[in-house]
Amino acid sequence: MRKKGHILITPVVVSQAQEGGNVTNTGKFDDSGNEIYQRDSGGYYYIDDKGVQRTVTSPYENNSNIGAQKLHHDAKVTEYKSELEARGYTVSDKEASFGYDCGREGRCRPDIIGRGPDGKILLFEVKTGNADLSICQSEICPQIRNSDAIPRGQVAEDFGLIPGIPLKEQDYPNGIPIEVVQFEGLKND
Amino acid sequence: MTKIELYNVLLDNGWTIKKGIDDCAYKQLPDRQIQVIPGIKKLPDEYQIIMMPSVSTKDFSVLVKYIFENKKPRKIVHSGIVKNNQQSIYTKNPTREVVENYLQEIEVWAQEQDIEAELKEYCKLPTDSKGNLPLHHLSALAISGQSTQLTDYLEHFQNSDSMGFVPYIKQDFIERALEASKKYQ
Repeated sequence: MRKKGHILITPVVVSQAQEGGNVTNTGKFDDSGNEIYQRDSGGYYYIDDKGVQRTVTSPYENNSNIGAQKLHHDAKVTEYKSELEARGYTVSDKEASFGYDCGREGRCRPDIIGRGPDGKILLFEVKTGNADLSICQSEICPQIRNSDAIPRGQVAEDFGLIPGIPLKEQDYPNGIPIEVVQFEGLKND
Repeated sequence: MTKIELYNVLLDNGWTIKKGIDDCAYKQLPDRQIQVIPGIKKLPDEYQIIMMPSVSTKDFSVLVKYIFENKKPRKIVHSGIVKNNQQSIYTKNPTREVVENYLQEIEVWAQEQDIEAELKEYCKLPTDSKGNLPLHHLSALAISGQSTQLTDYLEHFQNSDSMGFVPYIKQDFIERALEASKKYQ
């Protein structure tokens, strides 16, 4: 029985008259726990916090090895966090978000935010195989490095930053360094 | 266990969830408020259940927001005073019982924290602290009723001396902190 306040997870067919077609709730979730829907056309998407449909890959594992790649990447992130902790860093178990200085939509979440033994904050982006920076990462990372980027969300606040205020106004005039850490990818990556 | 199922365990155990850039869950205890930033991650051999717990008080959190934004928040706000170093647990079998036991441990931890002592530490912070620390410093002074120190800060700002405070701390922040401090004397 569904209790008050619970989130329905049973697969259902939802009419989507405004788009002139039907969508099916696949009953599957992406790695962030978002429900994945399938269009009549065969494409897949989830609905973000603002109600916007975001295209995703098929949630059926045998269609791709993207799930395995994600698992491999997350394992390497965890491995590198352990290494940092052994070196005296404090690291967050969740990624902190950073947005554009101009307030434009879009954020990037470097894989690891850590505080070194000297108290300074550092960011780490873990790359496996041939993975490259995403568009948001390639645009926002320079702003994090030059102090224009704006921290967003509770994880950033929990790590001692003020969301909504550019780094340069929080006494990070030289931004926050981002170190890209490269690991081997899966054999079929 | 999916993120949705994890959230349902939180709801069943009296937590309130606030969706946002980072979804958070809150539990109000008689004299304090706990925040977790819940998540679940599948690793090769096990699951990581993330909570990143922190404890604060409703008064302190509202005051931080008021000094920062000059308005009383309508939604739940939380500015952590004490953070738990244990941010996650790892398990091969992420059941409801495992999560409920973890939440229970977080509540026990939160009850054990000496919030007053931590606020005294915030009061001692230097004015040139980085990030959110200067805001927490002003809020801690206000909630401790330390009007004399805040009056001194205000006089410096009025004489164009920002005392090394970070650029986002403006004179009106000090004025609001001073105004609030008089209610806590």
